[in-house]
Amino acid sequence: MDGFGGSLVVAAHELKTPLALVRQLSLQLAETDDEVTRAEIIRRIRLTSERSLRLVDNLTKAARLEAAMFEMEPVVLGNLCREVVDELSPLTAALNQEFQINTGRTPLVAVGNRDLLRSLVMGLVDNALQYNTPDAPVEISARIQRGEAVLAVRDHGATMDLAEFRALSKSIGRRAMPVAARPLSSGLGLLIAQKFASAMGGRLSVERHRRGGMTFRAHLPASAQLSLLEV
Amino acid sequence: MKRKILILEDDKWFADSLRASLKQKFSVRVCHNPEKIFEMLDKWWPDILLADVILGEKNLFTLLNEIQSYTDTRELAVVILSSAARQIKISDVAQYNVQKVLDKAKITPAELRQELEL
Repeated sequence: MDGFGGSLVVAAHELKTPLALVRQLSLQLAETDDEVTRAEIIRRIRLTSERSLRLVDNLTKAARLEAAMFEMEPVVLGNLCREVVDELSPLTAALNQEFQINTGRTPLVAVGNRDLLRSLVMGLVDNALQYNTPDAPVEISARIQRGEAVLAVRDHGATMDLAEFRALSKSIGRRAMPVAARPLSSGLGLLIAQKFASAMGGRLSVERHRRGGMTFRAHLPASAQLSLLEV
Repeated sequence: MKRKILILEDDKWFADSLRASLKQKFSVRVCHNPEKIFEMLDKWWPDILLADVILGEKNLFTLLNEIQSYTDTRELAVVILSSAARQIKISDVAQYNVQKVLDKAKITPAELRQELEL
């Protein structure tokens, strides 16, 4: 099943999975008297619900992309990254993860739709949080390279073998591809992120690291305002 | 002695919750990654493998096929716990020694405990 339309089954599964989890957690809650356990279960219900809502929100946006007109504006990537990290801080704490943000001293400005760009970064960071090992931080960085604003999110989780990596590199933007080394993912988040990048005139790329982990990059048009800032 | 249940579930929080629901009545361990299942089986042989179907790229049936191919693992009793339970006929999976197919989105913890008594 290629194409975004063909990914509806994947989308249905991705939505059913957190709903089944919320249901299971609420049943566990009803059986538990311990206050500490109850508080943890309630926190997991909230975080799972919020994650599901983000997915629904992104699916809705992706479905409307072709018909929609987007206001493109200069967006300072460093500020955007910090906003996303802030918003995900409860999930970050729950997963015992940390971030390292490196966007340099000079403000890096991309041209994009603020809302789409935010969703794109949120998707990449959320994905990294699920797979990163708590021994090393999720690294978020931004730089200008060959006229593009490049935003990278690197995790230190499982990497994939070469054949799988090549298949993933080819499939980005065309279909959701699950990755054996990352069993929880259907690849739908990556497909949506590519749709968002593409709508803003950008693209995604992926790099695997020999000692573990993956880097996902969003390449976006850099703002001409950058040259003014550099003067 | 308590019956031994090995949970194969890629969602860590779901697995945690299942373990919490089952641990009073059963001896429970969890495996999150299907690639590690044989390592787990070598260390701790369960009475029942309680498994989800969709486990990333490697679905359960690929794994069960492999389990059936080894003489020392083919007797493993399997109970499927999946959101896709309605699409699975027990007669189609009986060859994998699947004893029951349970709906993850409908079963309660009390019902699950009862079902795992077999």
